[in-house]
Amino acid sequence: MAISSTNQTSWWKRCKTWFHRWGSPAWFYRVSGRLIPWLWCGFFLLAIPGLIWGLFIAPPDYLQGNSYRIIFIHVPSAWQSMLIFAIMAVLALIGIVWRIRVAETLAMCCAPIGAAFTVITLATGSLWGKPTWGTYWQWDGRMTSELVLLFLYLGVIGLHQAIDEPRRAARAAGLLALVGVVNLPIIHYSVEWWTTLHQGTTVSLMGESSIDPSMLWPLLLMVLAVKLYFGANLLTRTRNALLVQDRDKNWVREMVSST
Amino acid sequence: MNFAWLSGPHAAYILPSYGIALAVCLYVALAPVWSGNRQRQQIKALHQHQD
Repeated sequence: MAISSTNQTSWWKRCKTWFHRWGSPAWFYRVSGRLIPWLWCGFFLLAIPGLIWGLFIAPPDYLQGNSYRIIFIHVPSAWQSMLIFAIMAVLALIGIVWRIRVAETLAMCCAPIGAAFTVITLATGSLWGKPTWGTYWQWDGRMTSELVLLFLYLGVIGLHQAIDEPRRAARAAGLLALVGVVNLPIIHYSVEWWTTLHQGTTVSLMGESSIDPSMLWPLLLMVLAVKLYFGANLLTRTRNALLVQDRDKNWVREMVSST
Repeated sequence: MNFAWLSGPHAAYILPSYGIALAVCLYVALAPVWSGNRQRQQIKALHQHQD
């Protein structure tokens, strides 16, 4: 019993030490540099079959014909745009509460990637809307709340760039990210709360999905691929930001002189 | 393999969708790589100047 308790304590200590190490910019830089190539490999291994399957193997939809093939980029982007905002808010909260600089930097590096996914979501949704609903744009709940998400991302980026001192800038923009989280349930439930042109939930994590498996599998491949793309991109951007912030520190001096 | 839709009416909506997504993803992925390389060179030059 005593041995088991000691093992548990040492396991917990190792976990805590591992977690705390991520707060060190030098350690973060070194480890993330090793992770990035693996994330890119995973992305290509999932995205290439996902795209081929979705575009050329999956059958046409019985109602929408081939236009539904936009789903394989639109849905992963839409989910990712919301997930990134949630991740950004959590990291911003960690940065504000515990003053961990790596968390603040990660949060701020989330914003441009999230904005890009929101732009892709709006553009592809608009192009899907024309053959499906007969219009590129409608001010309905889902589309408008996704547009608000883009403005929130642009607000976070703008506020971060408007303040010269990086840590104050990250905290101010982090607060905006925390406030903006209220938009996420609005986006998710907009198709239930209001009568919208946008279709209701098709893929459900908890319940039964109404999408055919021949369309679901390539969609899931693309969803995972987009997550790995985000991971690789976020780590690359954060490494750059940490390098600039710590340009006078010894670890940067040693790292730059060795390359 | 179903390539028939490429010559159908929906290709005018599907192809631009993937084109926009590819362009945005490429830019968002490559921009930090370019700026990172530039920043490393600038920091290296700064350190050499200080030494």
